Amino acid sequence: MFLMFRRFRTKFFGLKKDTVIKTLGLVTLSGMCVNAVSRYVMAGTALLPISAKIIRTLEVTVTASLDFGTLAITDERAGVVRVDPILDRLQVSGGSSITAAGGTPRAGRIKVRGGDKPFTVSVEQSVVALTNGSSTVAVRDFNIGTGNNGSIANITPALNERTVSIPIGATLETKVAQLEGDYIGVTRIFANYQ
Amino acid sequence: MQNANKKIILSTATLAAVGLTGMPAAQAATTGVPVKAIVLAPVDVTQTQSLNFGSLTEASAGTLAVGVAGGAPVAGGGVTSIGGTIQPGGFKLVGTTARNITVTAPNSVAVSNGTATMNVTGISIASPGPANTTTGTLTTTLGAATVSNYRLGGTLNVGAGQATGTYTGTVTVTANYQ
Repeated sequence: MFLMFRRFRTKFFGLKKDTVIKTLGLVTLSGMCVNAVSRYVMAGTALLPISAKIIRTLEVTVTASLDFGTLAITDERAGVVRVDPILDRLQVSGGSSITAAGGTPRAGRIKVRGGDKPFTVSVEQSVVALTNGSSTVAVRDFNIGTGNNGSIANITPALNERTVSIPIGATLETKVAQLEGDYIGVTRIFANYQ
Repeated sequence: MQNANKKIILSTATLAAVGLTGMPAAQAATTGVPVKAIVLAPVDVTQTQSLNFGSLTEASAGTLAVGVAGGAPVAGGGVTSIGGTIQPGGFKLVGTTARNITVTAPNSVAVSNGTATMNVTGISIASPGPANTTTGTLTTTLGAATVSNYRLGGTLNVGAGQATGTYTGTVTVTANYQ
């Protein structure tokens, strides 16, 4: 029995070691493959939307100056006249010391070109001084557009409208003993997207 | 000789099998191969809000950046932000608690109005508190099964004379267990 045992052990040890190792190795590799597959199918993805809108920069162009025409002062009192942006003509209050005396009084007009987004139009100064070089006359109470907007108006372009024409009116106020002359002045108009 | 060897091998195997029942226990050779499996809930990524740059005008080439923290965008060059909906992108993760997860997004993507394109670059992602913002790959640990308020920001690159219009696109966010 002892002799037989020794022979078998020899034979056993005669078995190539790499055969045993290969068998164990197959088991290990199989385990690793299962791990890798599980990781791959568990990834989650999502599509996140992105958006941006580019619209045209606003451009403001003056197409007509605000003109009170020629005014005659009938007495030495202070007086007021108004250019109505809706009616586009001079309005003289009854009993005023000023009357229309010619010229072409009309509302000022600007053209705003931009995108389809609402924008705001505003006058830089609430009171503008016109001068003849030596004396001044005040222009105030600007009204932008055809509504009672005052000196700041919110404009919403119509669908597919990219250029908007906007009238501007105001009130001119003369002083007592206002001097004659051609009075001129300027004010800036701003347009900004809301 | 080979046949003789094969016979020996077979004989050895046979003897070993016999040993399990008839031979002493010390002669049997066994080993246990460990098998391990980790079972996790699939990690799910869901977008909760889009990355919006709002409305802008271009006077010359420039950029507009929307940060992961939100707030006012940062304009550069000839770009002016004029409002609209401006917000970082948002998404949430659903998975197994206390597991480390990597979240990746490409560094840049293109948006288009159908004819013209712009690039959104410097895409960054941030996890909710504590603050952790990175570009490329974010590594985070799920403190709960569902975690919301991950944020994604980027910089819109506007070219000179960029055509007007609404530009849209998508960015793919991918999440993986580590």
